[in-house]
Amino acid sequence: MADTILEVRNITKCFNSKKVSVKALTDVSFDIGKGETIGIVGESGCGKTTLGRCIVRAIEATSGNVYYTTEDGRRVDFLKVSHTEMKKIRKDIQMIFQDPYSSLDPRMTVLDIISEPLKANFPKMSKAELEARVVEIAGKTGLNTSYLKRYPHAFSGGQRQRIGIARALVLHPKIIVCDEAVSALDVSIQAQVINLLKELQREMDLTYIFISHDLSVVEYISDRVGVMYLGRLVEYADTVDLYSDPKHPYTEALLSAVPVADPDVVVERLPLSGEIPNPANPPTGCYFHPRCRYCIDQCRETSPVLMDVGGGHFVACHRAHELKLKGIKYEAVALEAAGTTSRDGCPEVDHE
Amino acid sequence: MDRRTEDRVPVVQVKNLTIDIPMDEGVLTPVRGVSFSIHEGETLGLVGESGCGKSLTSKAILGINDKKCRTGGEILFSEADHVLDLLKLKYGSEEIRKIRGERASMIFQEPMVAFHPMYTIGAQINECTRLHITSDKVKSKEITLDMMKRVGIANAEKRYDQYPHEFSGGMLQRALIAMALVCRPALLIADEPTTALDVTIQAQILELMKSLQKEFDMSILFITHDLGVVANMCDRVAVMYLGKIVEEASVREIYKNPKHPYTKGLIGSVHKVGTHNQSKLFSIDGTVPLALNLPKRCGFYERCSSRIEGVCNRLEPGRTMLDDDHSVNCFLYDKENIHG
Ligand SMILES: Nc1ncnc2c1ncn2[C@@H]1O[C@H](COP(=O)(O)OP(=O)(O)OP(=O)(O)O)[C@@H](O)[C@H]1O
Ligand SMILES: Nc1ncnc2c1ncn2[C@@H]1O[C@H](COP(=O)(O)OP(=O)(O)OP(=O)(O)O)[C@@H](O)[C@H]1O
Ligand code: SF4
Ligand SMILES: [Mg+2]
Ligand SMILES: [Mg+2]
Repeated sequence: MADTILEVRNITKCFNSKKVSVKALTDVSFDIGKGETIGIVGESGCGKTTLGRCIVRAIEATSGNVYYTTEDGRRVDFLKVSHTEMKKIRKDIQMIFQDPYSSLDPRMTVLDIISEPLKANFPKMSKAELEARVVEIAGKTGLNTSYLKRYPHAFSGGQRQRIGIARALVLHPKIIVCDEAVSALDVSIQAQVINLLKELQREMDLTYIFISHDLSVVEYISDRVGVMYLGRLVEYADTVDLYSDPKHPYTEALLSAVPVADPDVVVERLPLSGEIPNPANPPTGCYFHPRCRYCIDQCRETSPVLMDVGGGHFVACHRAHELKLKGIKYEAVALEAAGTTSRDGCPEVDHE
Repeated sequence: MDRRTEDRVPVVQVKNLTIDIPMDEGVLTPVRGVSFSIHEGETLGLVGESGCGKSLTSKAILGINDKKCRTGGEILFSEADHVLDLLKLKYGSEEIRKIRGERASMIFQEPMVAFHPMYTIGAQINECTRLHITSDKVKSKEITLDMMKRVGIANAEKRYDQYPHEFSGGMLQRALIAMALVCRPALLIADEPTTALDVTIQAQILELMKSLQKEFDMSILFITHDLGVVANMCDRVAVMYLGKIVEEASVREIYKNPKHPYTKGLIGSVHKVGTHNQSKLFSIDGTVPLALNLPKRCGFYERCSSRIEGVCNRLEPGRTMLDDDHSVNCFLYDKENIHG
């Protein structure tokens, strides 16, 4: 497996206002390998965006660490590094936002928008070099250079998302957090942008954290997937492992709800009762217990911790070892290609 | 399940619907000759890219488009003993009001905007009941509460007196469905009814719509851009591109045997969960043009990789029937008319 580039450790984030305190993230921990794509899924309000923003330090986590292994092999806590170090490595971790419509300043030309991060990080860079870097990245992201002098309102959703991607890439980052980067786009345009992200990943050796509520897009693009529920990471595993053999009851319910684009596939739904609880007033014990069909007394009392149940498949559920849950049915060839069938006999996955 | 029956009269027939919108830069032609029909108990899916005219088409059926929209064609609605052309009815007339809300109703993507924030949910649903079913206060409230229970709103009596902001998105969509169905309409138009919801809530709402459809024997026009939802919900599918229906067939045909290059592209660009297919996604180059000063040619010409030069850029393809239940608008299947 690839070397670890990012170790997210016990990230907790509270939003405090006069009246209430919302714990948007509780003790989120996971590792990301260099060059990997990690998908993050979960229902609205479960903390996906907050997690992304904490990792890139668009907001400050209340507590926790994000250990980043730099290009030259040093392991630093991205959330606590010195000011001078931060100046050097901040550009390594960038974020692409959900809404291609509101995230671009309408008064700036495309050239200004893409070059802004360069100016901020390299104030002494010459105008010619700035432009050269922008043209290079525009080419990579499929933006015609004749567009550079125009304003963003003249562009379609797919083109705006390309501008957002170019802006995130111009500093040659190592890690990119993509927050619902294709969700607002039409399917045919989504495919263009997803293909582009994959190409760029290969070309520039990028690591992605891909946040989305679309489970089929996440399955396509991710090497590993994390499932969040009410601010906690409840399951984390290799993509096919998680989709075909989920170990957390919430993941099972989520997968059973995915609409499959094939009229011949009949999915047995496992409807979840109730709605996602209010994070200002979370349930006791396992946060999922009020909606869980497998809940036992222990679940109401103590909160399960995220544990490796074998082969790097992490789950936070008291009953993970005994439950036999339903996942998506894969054809045998697909499982084999993903190396999942051999897991039981001789583990190919490295253990730490 | 094959719902197709030639002898039954369709509940609604849209014939050559056109919508023009005068703008400063010229006349926008977002709907350019749309025809389809929906039979009793059938769900027709209307899919296509953002801006292709899905919402304008569906709103034309209910006569709720902006006043500045100029509408042409026919929208034939079957009543028990006669057929009405909804486009010929006078704006705000008794007849159109009877159709709208009573015989045909609509649910939208954003349930929040459909409700007035200052009135309770119950009062707003009950308004429909009183207007269309009974003016008897006690009976009316009974019917309203019953409907709220049917759509799965727990504690309906308590919920009746709550305001929209006290409902979650999923619950509000249920309330909106209750409001749309309380009059037992023959036709329900659902415009992206689950797009704003989480997958688990979406699955609940779709199941609910299916079971109510069976119970009330209602027809549904289901608008969405989600091909997974279409595969789940629809009997037939009409694929729209740039203001026209380019292909129409049974849901199975559309997924297994798509013919129009746009439909093929659309189906091909969706990753199917459970395949672990890692190859490059199929994608259609370019973007949809704006429906302004469109030249006479196939609307998909610019983005089409199978186009026939000299034909597709000179003429507009008409509808070709491939068999009883599969039609396509594309010169690749219309050899006769290629030469004008
Ligand atoms: N600035 C803020 N102040 C107070 N609460 C916040 C703030 N930002 C987020 N929250 C709360 O934190 C929780 C997590 O929000 P977040 O936006 O991370 O969810 P999400 O998983 O990205 O949801 P979505 O899928 O809707 O984008 C929510 O309950 C939200 O209301
Ligand atoms: N009131 C209006 N004034 C001007 N243009 C309009 C108006 N309503 C719709 N349009 C334009 O007509 C076209 C079709 O709009 P419509 O809302 O029917 O699209 P749609 O297929 O429902 O798209 P979406 O999937 O984004 O909802 C769009 O280009 C839209 O901008
Ligand atoms: S810990 Fe208990 S309540 Fe939570 S998911 Fe597992 S079985 Fe369900
Ligand atoms: Mg978010
Ligand atoms: Mg619409």
